[in-house]
Amino acid sequence: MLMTLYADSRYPVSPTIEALHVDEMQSYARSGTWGTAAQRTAIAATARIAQCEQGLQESVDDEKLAAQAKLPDAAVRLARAVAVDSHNIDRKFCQDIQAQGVSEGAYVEIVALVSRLSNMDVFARGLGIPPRKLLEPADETLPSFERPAEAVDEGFFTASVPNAPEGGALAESLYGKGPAGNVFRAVSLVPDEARRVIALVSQQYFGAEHLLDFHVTSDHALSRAQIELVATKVSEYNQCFY
Amino acid sequence: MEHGCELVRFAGALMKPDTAELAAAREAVAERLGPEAVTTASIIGGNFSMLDRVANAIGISVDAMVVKPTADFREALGINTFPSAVNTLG
Repeated sequence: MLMTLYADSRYPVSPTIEALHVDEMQSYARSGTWGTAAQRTAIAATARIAQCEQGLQESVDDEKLAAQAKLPDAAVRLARAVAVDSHNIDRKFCQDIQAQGVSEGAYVEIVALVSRLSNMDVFARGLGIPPRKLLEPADETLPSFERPAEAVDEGFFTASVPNAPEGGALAESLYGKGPAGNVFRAVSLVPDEARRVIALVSQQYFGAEHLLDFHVTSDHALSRAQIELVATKVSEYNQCFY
Repeated sequence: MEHGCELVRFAGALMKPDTAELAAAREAVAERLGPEAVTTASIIGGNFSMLDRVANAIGISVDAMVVKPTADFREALGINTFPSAVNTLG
């Protein structure tokens, strides 16, 4: 088990973030809702390969983990697209991937997993340390393949769990009492992935209840305006309209 | 904005392959804003790298209450030309 993750950083990382990120690294190597531990590990390694090919990060010699599972070509295509070309993904791409055998739930799980890995890798790059090495698959549990009964078409490429009351108890467990913005509901077709994304955003940025409160105080070393400046520059590069 | 130039330089370098530029941008942030600022800027960079990918790949639209108040600067900044704009603007 990983005990420390950022001992080699010259810059301070809080125990809260370190613990969250240790759990993140372990999550890629564990069975999910739609993918086995071996498949999820292979997806993560495939995304890493694409990032290395673009020169966006250094290799830490974990590319071989991409061979942990024989992934469908469409899953490889999706993982690579999310890693390095997400701004060109459109509804037709999403439909093509599913037509080639990746289920809607698996699509969402791959998107969330690769996006969460990008969070880790960009953070390490910012600190000036190598990406944290991916772990070997940790279990042989079969995925549950459970699709939430509450999920509906909200106009996104994939179904999602709407806010309460339509989303029921599941929505409250994911989003809390108040209505959640679209980005918090985006990957809720796979509730475990949504919980992880929401937990990361709440610790690393601001919780949903403070998103539009520009006077909120926080433990961040930057002001809210400075934080938004960094966020905007990153989103401009990723051509993210949202 | 105070130290805005250093932060914009760092955020831009974070997204590009030039490691020498990234190292220089990081040093500038550490020198002017302190080492904790490097950590926070990196956290925010990672966080939005994640959210941007989720938003782009799931095709979410901008929340209704934000669309109108942002219309003027979206147009001015060229954000409406991003491929993912179609998910909101149609």
